[in-house]
Order: sequence, then structure tokens, then C-alpha cells
Amino acid sequence: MAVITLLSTACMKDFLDVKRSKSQVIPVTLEDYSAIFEQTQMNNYSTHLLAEVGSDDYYISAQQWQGLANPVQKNGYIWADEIYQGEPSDDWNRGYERILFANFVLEGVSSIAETSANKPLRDELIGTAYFFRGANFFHLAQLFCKQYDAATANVDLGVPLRVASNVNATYRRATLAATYGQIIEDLERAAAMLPVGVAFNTRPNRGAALAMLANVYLQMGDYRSASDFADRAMSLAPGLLDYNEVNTSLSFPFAFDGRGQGNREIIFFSQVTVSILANSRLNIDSLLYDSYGENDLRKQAFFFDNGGRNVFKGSYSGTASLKFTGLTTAELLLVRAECNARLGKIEDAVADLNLLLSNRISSAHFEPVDNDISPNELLELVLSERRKELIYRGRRWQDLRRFGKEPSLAKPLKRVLDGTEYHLPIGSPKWVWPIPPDVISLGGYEQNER
Amino acid sequence: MKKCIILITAVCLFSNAFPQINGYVFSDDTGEHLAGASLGLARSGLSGVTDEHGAFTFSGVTFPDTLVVRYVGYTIKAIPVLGPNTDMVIYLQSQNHAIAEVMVNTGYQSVPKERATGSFTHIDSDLFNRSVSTDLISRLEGVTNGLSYELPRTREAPSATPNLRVRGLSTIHGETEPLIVVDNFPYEGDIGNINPNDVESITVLKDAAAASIWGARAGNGVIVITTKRGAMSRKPTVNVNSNVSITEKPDLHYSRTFLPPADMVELERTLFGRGLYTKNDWTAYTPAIDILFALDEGLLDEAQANARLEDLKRYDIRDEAARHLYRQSVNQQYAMNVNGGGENYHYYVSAGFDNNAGSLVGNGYERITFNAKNSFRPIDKLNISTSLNYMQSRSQNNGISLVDLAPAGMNHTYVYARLADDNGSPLPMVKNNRFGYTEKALEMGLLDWHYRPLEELGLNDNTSGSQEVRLNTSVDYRLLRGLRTEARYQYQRIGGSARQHYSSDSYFARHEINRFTQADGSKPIPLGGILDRGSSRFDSHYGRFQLDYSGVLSGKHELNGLAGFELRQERNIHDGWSRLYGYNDDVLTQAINLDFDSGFPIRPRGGSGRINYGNSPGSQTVDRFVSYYANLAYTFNSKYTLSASTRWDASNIFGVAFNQKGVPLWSVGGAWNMANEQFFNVNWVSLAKLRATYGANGNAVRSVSSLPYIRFGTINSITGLPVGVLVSVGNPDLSWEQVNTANLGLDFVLFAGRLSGSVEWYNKSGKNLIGNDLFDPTTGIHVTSVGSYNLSNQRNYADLNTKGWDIELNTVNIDNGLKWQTTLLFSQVRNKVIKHHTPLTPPITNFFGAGIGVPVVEGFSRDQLYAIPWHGLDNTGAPLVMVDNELGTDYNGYFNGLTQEDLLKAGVSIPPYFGSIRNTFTWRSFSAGVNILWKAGHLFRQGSIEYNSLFGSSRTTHIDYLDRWQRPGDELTTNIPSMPQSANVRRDQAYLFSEALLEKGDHIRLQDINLSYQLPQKYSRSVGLSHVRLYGYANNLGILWKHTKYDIDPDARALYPRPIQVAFGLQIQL
Repeated sequence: MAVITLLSTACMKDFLDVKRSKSQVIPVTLEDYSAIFEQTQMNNYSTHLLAEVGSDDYYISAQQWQGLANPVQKNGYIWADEIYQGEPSDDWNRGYERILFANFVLEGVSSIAETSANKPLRDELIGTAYFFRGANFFHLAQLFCKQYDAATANVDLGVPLRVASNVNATYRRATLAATYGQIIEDLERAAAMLPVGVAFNTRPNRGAALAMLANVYLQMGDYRSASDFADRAMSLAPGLLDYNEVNTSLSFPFAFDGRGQGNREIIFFSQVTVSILANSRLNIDSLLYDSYGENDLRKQAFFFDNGGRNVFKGSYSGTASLKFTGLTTAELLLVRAECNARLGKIEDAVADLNLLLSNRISSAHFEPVDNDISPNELLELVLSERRKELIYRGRRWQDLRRFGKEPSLAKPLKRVLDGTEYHLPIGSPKWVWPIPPDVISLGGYEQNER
Repeated sequence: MKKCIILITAVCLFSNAFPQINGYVFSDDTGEHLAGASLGLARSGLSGVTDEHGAFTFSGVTFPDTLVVRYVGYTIKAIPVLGPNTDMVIYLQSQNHAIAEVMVNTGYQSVPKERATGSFTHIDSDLFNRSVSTDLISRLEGVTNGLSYELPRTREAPSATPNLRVRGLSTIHGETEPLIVVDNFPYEGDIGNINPNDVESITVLKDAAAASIWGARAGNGVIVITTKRGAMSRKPTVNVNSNVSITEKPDLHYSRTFLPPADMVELERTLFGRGLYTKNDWTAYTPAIDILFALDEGLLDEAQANARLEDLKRYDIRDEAARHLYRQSVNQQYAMNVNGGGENYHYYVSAGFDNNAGSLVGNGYERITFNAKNSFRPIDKLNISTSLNYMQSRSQNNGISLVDLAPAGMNHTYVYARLADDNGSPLPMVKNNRFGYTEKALEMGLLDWHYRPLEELGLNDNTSGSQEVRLNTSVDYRLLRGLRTEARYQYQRIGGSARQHYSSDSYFARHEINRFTQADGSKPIPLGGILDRGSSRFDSHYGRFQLDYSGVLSGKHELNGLAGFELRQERNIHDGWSRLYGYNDDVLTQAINLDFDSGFPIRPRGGSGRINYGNSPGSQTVDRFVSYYANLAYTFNSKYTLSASTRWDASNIFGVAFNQKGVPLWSVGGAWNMANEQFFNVNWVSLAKLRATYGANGNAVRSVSSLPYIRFGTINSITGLPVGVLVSVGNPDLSWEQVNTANLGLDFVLFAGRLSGSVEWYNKSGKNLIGNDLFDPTTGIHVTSVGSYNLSNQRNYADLNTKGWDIELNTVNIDNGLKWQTTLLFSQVRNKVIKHHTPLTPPITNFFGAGIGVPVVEGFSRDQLYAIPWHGLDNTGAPLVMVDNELGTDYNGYFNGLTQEDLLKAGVSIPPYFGSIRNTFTWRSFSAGVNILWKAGHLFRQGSIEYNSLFGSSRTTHIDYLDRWQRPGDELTTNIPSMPQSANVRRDQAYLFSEALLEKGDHIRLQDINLSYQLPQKYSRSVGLSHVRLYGYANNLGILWKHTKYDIDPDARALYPRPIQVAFGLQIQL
């Protein structure tokens, strides 16, 4: 009996290892794992919704506001104390869904032994997983954590750093320092593993990882590192789209074939639907609209008059409802220009700025910026161009948050609805969105101060 | 006292080697030895029980003494023993056959019921054979304590396969059916494949101690079926059984969804007048509507149209269908077996043939079964048994039911339809297009497009067949006295195939060809028939190795134990469906090169459609299990029994992590035979046994996976690459569901067997039940904006509690020539969801279904029925609803504001009380039995008129329409809303979902009557037969009492209730 028991124990594992159903594909091959990244939510629902809802590039009428069905956007518009009213947060949920997929692929692919034949795809998948994880932690931190401040990052709350796919594991909120540490580590690993070129811009390449790192360091105020990564990213960047060659009169000038495919400026593609920005209710901030010069081709390419309201058609997604939130060469130039302007490298900054503008201003009227511009004027100009170039891409909220730490740039926000004013003053805890209540109650995390 | 024990022990030790009394105990009527008979020597202070061979041994007897022998169901016998006697043969006189020693079979061992601690229901051959049926399961209804037998709601014929619940529910989302075991191994085929004539007995294992030997699959109870076998040293006997049962034509007027023809025509006229019909070629308008169109267009004048409409009112499809499509069904059953045995072997060979002609003309079922069982003992200690079971069945489903007659898009057929004219020639019925269109088919160069049901009966061949082979081998070797080792193996293979052939003249083939016929007359679907085929296979290997010990240790201590392990593999293969076009069944040719890719304009509507490819992918699953188990029972002095069992299961369903964890399922139990106590000296009590058990069984949920998996099939619209949709990231912590059961029972036999029975209480706690759980969205599992989960969110967390009583009383009321026995069964069971998360707020209308679709709510029964309050009708006939404490007709406002808390928790849909009373009368060679069933405490939801569907394309009607509100004042006498000007589904629902339509389901039904006459042996012997029995059986005899005032059967959820069935048979033993 004992012998038989022993025998059967030895072969039992093999006996029970057989796959139960043929139609359920348990991912085994690198191709299986790669197919997981073909799920459209890797690029859609990017974690930028509340960033757009809360920022100052637009306003809507009181009547439109009253009619908003989604409480998160309705309450978010006036930075209310409680914004969710039982609704889930797509920013949080989709962000962590991508992190789950990234962890899942990372674990699966890491368990497949490396061979010379599989190394290119294996490395790419590992790099892609690190990119998605790091980038999504970063986007989450911009919404649900305080603005990074080296002085307090060791006590400020970050996000839960889920780095394993086991759904039974529990995590607490890490510190902000640890959060940024994880983001940088993931993105650096991604940059090391990713190939220079990938077949579709829905998948990150090395340039995308480096561009993300430039963005992260810019957000942290580490302009030297940001400039370095922007440099490295630029060397791999695909080029600029010359708006002189774009038919700006089209209803969607950046449609190309399919979502962002064929647009040579895109380094990495992602998008989000923000219903409060729908052209049926959107009003572009008038000062912002006026800041686009008459010869600025973006004015025609980005906006059109919709019954007396200037609305947006300039998404690199090529449609009205989907807002492009990915990475472009133009953004890299602006990151590098800002860093160089702040670091006193006027000529480098002016060069980048002129390169961008020569592709944005009508060739007949383009006048380059002079190198004798004052550093303050230059920074102001770069930041103005940054806002104009990256409108409705989820960047304005990040910028407002980091400007809040700089008295000269800090800008309080205000909304007016039927004569009632709502304020978002500098230093207010409301620059950090509350974590959704369902997440708090099910995960037991510490809520943000409000 | 202490001294006394030492003394006895010393005597025992001393005298062990010198048995002074030994012998055997036999039954006087069967001549078989009695295992487990209790013996006592009062003066010597000794007691014991007989072993499995009926043997007993005593040492240290103080002579003279009196040996008292007791055995349940037998008269106590006292034998004076004056001195040593080593060859005693004791015959006990049977009191009553019915309560003779019952051996309950768990599938792993046979245990005398008297010594069992667990809860068993034993159905012996007599009880099982009092009813007549082709299948086995239907014979359990009304005779199995604690088994609820609910027929699922079907649209058409009453379902043949019931939802069985042994002692209520023990799972929320898992499998609810009990495990069925046939001859020691789980049976995975269609239980209808087993011929009831081969069944010896059935044991239902109900509590943890009874069922835990089946471990992870025992959570819903286990039904153990033991088939017949021969016996050693028995002269060959031949048994022949034959019967014919006839089932009445169904009562097609039962359904309340039809209006009388005259009312139907008038209703259609009204609806037509309201402009609810727009003339087109592609809607299957009824003849009345076609007439009204013609009137509208001036093709008919008023008088002609009225005359035609009046003519329609003369016909009723329910009568026509009953005449032409339905029939009395006749089931014939023939079974024969030969069994017997010599000194060292026994055998059983049987064959059976069933031929059923269904209640629909064109439906039939045939089954052939063959069994051969052999057992031989080449040497004294070795026993080898083999069995071969073969089954072949074929069923034809070419009948056309009333439901099949419904025109496309309509809920049921128009009541004034005709199948044949006065001369019996087949008439067309509206099927896919109105007559006005199909009449022109030939003109348009198409095939005849009429649907003539009576012609169709011979034009289609829808046949499915199944073959099953089961091979069993067991080798049993006796190692030492009482210690046996046993190895068993079973191979089972089932092959199923189905074909549906639509001949070239069939409506289906003509319709498909016509639809695709192009304007130029070309036919993308070639002329000819259409053939659909599919097949499936199942095979399994079961192996088991087991050690058994059974023995009496020094008189008072009795030990029974077993331990073993088991390996199983079950493989299911479905080959999917395939279709042939242009098929000719005579020469087996088919058309090739059909264009499945292009879209073709489709008649009559136009638009574009592709030819149905007709092929579907198959599937293949392999389930593997490894189990270890052990079971031990210790009985002291025939009074106290302790039992314990444990089982450990692993499978490939759950992941490695779970298998490694290996939480064993277990049980413990105790029993106390009070009547065997010396102090319990009550003459009229022959048995009083208290039992208590507790333990855990498992339940498998095969639909969930602990392993991650992805699904291919979609394409990324941006990259054009295949998407691997991650369906589940896996859950390494997933495990079996666990059902903890406590059981308390009292078994008794009083007044020398005149009154016997059992009372049992149980409490089942379903723990770790798998449910859709709430997840912290940070895990990545979340609810998407469309309201469903992005990834599988099932895990073990939910709890369900079920508790109840099972009571059985048997009485012998009269026993003087005429014998009158009564068996009363009573069960009470309720369940309650203790813990369950409903992560998404379900739409409020989901609460008004019945059964599995109703959302699970913590704190309520899984069978809960919900309703909204009923406030009557207003003076326009509109139902009233309460909004902001005011009655009104703001239905949208009402339903939008309605929450789960507002709903009336009206009751449960499954009867919490049920049972039966069975009376049996025996006089000389005659016997008669009557079984009466009752169910109580549950509710059911009545249907009523749905104006929204009546106005819509499905044109659903309901007899309640006739009693609707029609003029002010009617609101005082009717609850049925008036016909509104325009459809408003919420207005309908205000009535349909209300408490006004909930009816109490309590009822008492005369289930069946059986009669039997045994030819006196002097006559049967004279023709060379040892037994001849004639029997008759009638079931579904009708309802004796019901609570509801409606003329309906609360159990009949189909088009008609189960019709009366009458059977006659003859049983002969050579």
C-alpha cells in the first residue's frame, strides 16, 4: 500500500497537469503573451480623464453642466469634495487593469527560458510590460497623489505598488518617493529591454520609455535628468509633422489611416474619451484660443466654430470623441526646451523651440525666436507653446500641479456656473483627487485629504 | 465494580483460547446468515454480534446460561445453554420482510443500516418496482425521503428530466445535482441509459457521514444504484418482465395563453383598426390580418371580408393539433434475465428492449440493453468479478408540436389555424411570410413556399443515437481473517451522434433555397436537401485499490474499516456541427462550392445575408482526479458505534497550489442502540437508535479555473493583429466548495415492527462557495461601464445555510389476512444565503423571474420570489402604483425609484414542505398501493396579458384578456388592466410583477395507484413457472386539492400537465 501510494504521488503531478479544456488557451508561448497586449484597453481609457476634467483649457455652460450624466465629471468640474457618488473611476480601474496585464505578462514571459531565437520578442515583451506598469503608476500618481516634492516625498502618500498579478495579494499605499522610485526603475528597465523600432505605435519602443522618463523627471523638477532623457529620446524620435503639409481645413486633419497610424510624429499612442469635452458642450478657454497667432496653423488644425463655440478637432486620434494622450516628438522638444531654458541653455532651448514652431507656423510667416531672448521670456514662451501644443492631452493638469510649487508660475483656478464661483486655490488639497470610495472600502487604503 | 472488571478481563484473557460456544445465526425465511445479530449471555455478563458470515463465538461462559439473540425485524430468541456447544445453528424467525436487515451500499462498502451512523435512504427492489417507467429516476419521486423533485419550466411538453435536490440546496452557483453512482463508480452518462429492470436497489446518501466517502463531489448528496447480480449456489432462474404503458393525449386546452378563436379574430380586428399592422411581404401576418389588408385595399368588400373572418372563428388549432399531431403514447418494455450460481461462481445475464412511441406523431425512442455479470472464486480467498454493460438507443424527433406551429416572430400560433381541410388534405399555415406573399411563389419562379405541417411529418429525419459500453473488473482477495484487498477498474465509453435531414421537399429546404434565389433566378443554395450532423464521445477510466477490514475483536469490539485510493479520467469530445447543402439521402451526394463569403439579397425583404455555413467548432475537455480515502467504524457491545471517514481529492480543474494544499474532507459520527442496553428493558421497543454525525463534503464547480486563460477570436482594429482577451488571470487560492453537514437522527421499531421509522434533523452549511465577488479595483478586476466584469471575479467566499427535517413513519395498520401498511414521508427544508456579494446592482426587473435568474440576496433564500405591492386599478383600468405616498400611474417614475428594499419578499418558489402518504394493501395474492404526494409553503407567479407583447411582433395573448377591465366599475371586480391606447411595458409590469399574480402552490396530488396479482403457486407450478405476477399501474392521476382558485396544476409549468399514464405488465419467473 505504502509503495503504491508513493508511486502514485510521484506521477500524480504529471497526471493532474493536463490541460482541462482545449478552447481555453492557457497562455504558454511568447505569442500568447504578446496577444494580451493587443487588447485595446492597453491604449484606450488612458489615465488622464480627471486631469482633463479638472484643468483650465475649457469651460462649459451651466445648462450643459446641469445636464451632465456622469457624476465624476460633473462634480470634478467644480472640484467638489465628493465627486464619485457611487460611480467607479475609470482612471483608477483602467490604470490598474493595465498594470495587472503588465504584471501578468511579466511573470509569464520571465518564466519562459531565454534562447537566442526568442530573445528579441522576449525582451520586447518584458520591456513593454515594464513600460506599461511604470507609465500607468506615473499617470495614477498625477491624479491621486500630491505633486512630487523631494522634501516631503518620503512621507507623502503614493499609490499601491502592485507588482504581482496575484489578485489575492494585498498592498498598502507606498510613499511618493517609493512610487517615483518604482516608476523610474520600471521605465529604465523598459528602456534597456525595448527595441528601437516596433511595428505599431500602440506598442512602446525604447524612445517611448525614454520620453516617459523625460516626462517623469520634468514632473519631479529634475530638469537635468529630464533634459538628458529627452536628448536620448530625441535621438530615436521619429520626426515632426509639418503642419504646412497638413490640410487643416479637413474635419479631422490628423485622421491619417486609422487611429494615429501614419502620423509620423507619434512615438507612443494612447487615447481617452472625456465626455465633458464633447464638442456639443466644449468651450475652449478664450484667452487660450486667442494666444494662437493668426499664422499659427494649429488654430485651423485644432479648432472649428460649432455654432458660436470654438471646439476641438485636433486630436491625433483623428476623431472628435477620443482625445490623444500619447507621446510625440513635439512634446519631447518642448520638454527639452523647458529644461534647457530653466538650466540657462538659451541657445539649445531656442533651437528646439524654433524647430517646433517652423513646423507649426505658416512657412510664409514664420519668424524664428532670437537667441537674445531673456531667460524669463524664453521660459514663458516655451510654457505657452507647451500649453498650446499639448492642449487636451492630459498634460495641463500635471503642469498646473508642478507650477503650484513655483510662485511665479502658480495659477489658481476658478469656475463660474450661473454666477456661483468655485475656486481651486494654490496649495489646496483639492489638487489631489480623492481615491474612489469603492477602492477605499475594498482595499482599505488611506484616503487623500480633501 | 472495579474488581468485577478485572475479573471479567482475566477470565476473558484466560479463556480466549477455549471457545465454549460458537455457531451461526440464520434467517428462517431466506436461509441466509445474519451478520450483525446481537447476542447476550446475561448470567455470564457477555455480549457480542455475529460477524459477516453470521458466526459468533463466546468464551468464559458461566453455565448454565441463556443465549438471547436479537436481530432487527426478527423475533427475539432465547436458547438455554447448559454446557459448551461449538456447533450451534440458530434460525431467527422473521417478523416482517419490509424491515429485514437492510444493507446500505455507499459505493465503497455495504454496511448494515443498523450499524450505520449516517443518514441513508434505502429504496429496495419492491419499492422501486411499484412504478412502471422506461427510466430510473422518475421512480424515485414520492418514495424517497428528503428528495425534492421539481420539473423545470419548459415551453412545451413537461420536462422528463427533473431538477433533483437531495435535502435542498448546498451551493449558489455550482452544480446542484446529486452525484449518481452506478455499481461503485460515478456514472457520467445519461442516466436514462440504465434499464430499471437491472436495478436491485438504490441508496441515497444524505449526510456527511454517509456521503463523505465521495468527498469532493458529495456536497449535493449521492444516489447509489446497485444493479442485480447472481448468487453462489443458487439454481438458475429466469425472469421475464413485460409491460405496456399508455399515456393519454395531452390536454392542449390547458395553457392559458390562447384566446378562443372568435375572441382572437375580434382582437386582431381591433388591433388592425388601431393601425398596428403595416403591410409588407416579410412579416408573417395571420390570415385574419391578410383578410383585413385585402379589405383595406378594396380587394374584398365588407361582406366578403366579414364572411371570411367569421369562417376563421369556426376552427381551433388546439383541437386540430390534438387530432393530427398528437396521439396517445405507448411505451413497451421487455426485459429478461437469467441468474444463478454454482459453488464457486455466479452470473447474471440480462437483456432489455424498450420501444416508446411518443405523444407527438413522429417521435419515438428505442433502447436495447444487455448486461453480463460474472463472479467466480477460483481459490477460496480470491474472488474475481467482471461485468459488461451495453446500451444502444435511438430517438426520433420528427413530431411537430403546437409550439412548432408558431409563425416566425410570434410567440405561439394563431388559434384558428387549420392543418387539414374537411377531406383531410393538408392545408398550409403561415410560417415565415404571409399567405398573400407565399401564394405568389410559383409565379415568381420560386419553389412552392407553403408550410403544410401534415406533409412535413414525413419529410424530415431528425434522429439521434447513442451507444454506451461499460466494462467492470474487480479482484477481491482475502489476506487474513477479516482483511480483504480489492482492486477495481471501470472503462466507460459513450458515443452519440445526431442527424437532422431536411429532404428536398421539406419546408426548411424550400424556404432556404427560396430566400436566396436571386432576381435572375439563380440559386446560391442548390436544389436538394439539407443535412446537419454532429457527434460526441465520452470515455472514462476509473481505477481503485482498497483494503477492507471487518472483524470482531474479542467479543464486544467490532471494527470495520477501509482505506484506498482512486484515479479517474473523464474525457468529453464534441465534434461540433456540420452541414451539407444539396444533399440527396438516396445516393448520399451533396453540392459543393457554395459561396459562403458573399452577401446575397434575401427574399422577400432584400438586404444582404450570407448562406449559413452551418459548421460549429467542437470542444474537448479532460478531467482528472486523484483521491485517497479511509473510513473506520467501531462498535462496542452492539450498542455504541463511532465512525470516522476522510477523503482527499485533487484534480486538474483547480491548480497545483490547491492540489498541494490538500484540505481533506471528513466526517465523524456516533450511534447508540438504546434498545440493546440491558437497562432498556422495554418489550415493545425492538430498535431505538440515536445517531449524530458531522462532517464536510465538497462540491465541484467545473466552470471556474484556477489557471489563467485567454480567448482568441477578435482582432485589434488598429493593428489588425489577433487579440488574446485575458478572461481570467487565474486564482491560485481557488478550491472545492465545502458543505458542512450536521445530522441528528432517531431510528425506531416499535410494537414488534407495527410502527417503525426515523426522524432526522440536519443543518448544511455551504462554505467557501464560489460566487462573483467584489474585488478591490486596484487588483485590476473591476466593473466596466457596460456593467460587467472585465475579468473573471469568481472566488470561494459565499455561504449558504440549509436546514430541515426528514421524517419517515411506517405502520402496519392491519395484519390479519389482509395486511394494510402505511408509509408517511415528511420533509421540511429551507435555505438562506448567509454571505454573498452582489457586486453590481442588478436591474430591478431581474428580481421578478423565478429560479436561477433571480439575483442572490444575502439574508434571503436562493429560491426567493419578489413582487411589488398591488394597489388595484384606477377608474380607467390602469394599474395603480405608489409614488411619493400617492397612488397614480407614473410607471416610469415608479420603476426608476424602485429599489430592492421596496420589494415584497413574498415567499419561495420551491416547496419548503413536501411529502407523501403511501398505503399498501395485501390480501392473499393481491396487493394494491396508492401514493399521495403533497407540496406546501411555496408560491408561483401566474402569467397574464402582456399588452406590450400583444401590440408588438410576438402578439402574445392570454385568456385573462377576456376578464380585463372594460368599463368604469370593473376595477371593483377585476385586477386585469384595461387595454391601453399604446404599449407601455412598465404599465404591464405594474400588474405582472405584482403580488396579485402570486399564487400559493400548496396542493395534494394522487400520484399513482398500483395493483398486483400473484398467481397462486399451485397454478403457476402447473404450467412450469415458479412465479407469475400480473400488475397494473396508473400515475399522474390528478390533483385532489389545491389552494389556487385557478384551474391549473401548480407543478405544470409547460403547455400542458403530465397526462395520465396507465400501464399493465406481466412478470414471470421460471
